[in-house]
Amino acid sequence: MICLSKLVISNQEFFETIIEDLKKGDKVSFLVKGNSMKPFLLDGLTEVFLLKRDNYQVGDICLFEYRNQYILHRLIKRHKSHFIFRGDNSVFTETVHEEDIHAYVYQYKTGEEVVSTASPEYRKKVKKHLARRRIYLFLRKLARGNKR
Amino acid sequence: MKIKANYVIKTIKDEFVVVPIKDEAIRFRGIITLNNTAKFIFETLKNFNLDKKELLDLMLEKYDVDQGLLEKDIENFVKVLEENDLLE
Repeated sequence: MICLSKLVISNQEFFETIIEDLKKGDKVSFLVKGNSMKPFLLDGLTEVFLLKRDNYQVGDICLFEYRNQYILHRLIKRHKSHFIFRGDNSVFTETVHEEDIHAYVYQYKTGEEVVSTASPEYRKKVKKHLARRRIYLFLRKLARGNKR
Repeated sequence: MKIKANYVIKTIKDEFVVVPIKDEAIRFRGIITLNNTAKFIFETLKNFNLDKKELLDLMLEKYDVDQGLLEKDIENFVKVLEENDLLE
């Protein structure tokens, strides 16, 4: 019997395969799951293209391992020994070491729109969004403080 | 018929899967899984341009199966390849 069918695999197995290819220097792409990177990456609609690099920069969206999970979030702070990430639509941060970072998003595609993360337009949009986000997080902290 | 050059077989755990390479990237979306027989056909059609009859003869040499059943299987397999735009 010849069998050819669609495959459903676990996140862990999926990312292990992807990371193997990234380690070889290949470019890989997959569809985003979840809304923590809204408004840039949309659940089930955005295809991200990743590549390994030696030096991750603040502002990069990276694929990394955190508490046995694979996450795609933005690098918001970089220290000597550790890196801090947060989803653009998330309030929580993740702190990881360099060896836990596997790749960064060099391009993404939503519908027919292809965005290079190196483009000045994209960088401008990110800067604006993050500034607004910082205000939101500050006000949220303030409101929570007032409730206590 | 021949499988397009930009499709490759990857192994995820114990499964063989077909993924396209497009715009220089291995694109893990709409993954298709193959069993051993399908993998044999896929690899054969990736390397050689064969018609259904040639494929049938090749498989009858390799597998001890009923010819009628195999013909039907190949027919269905080729249909799936066409539907997924895997053929040149």
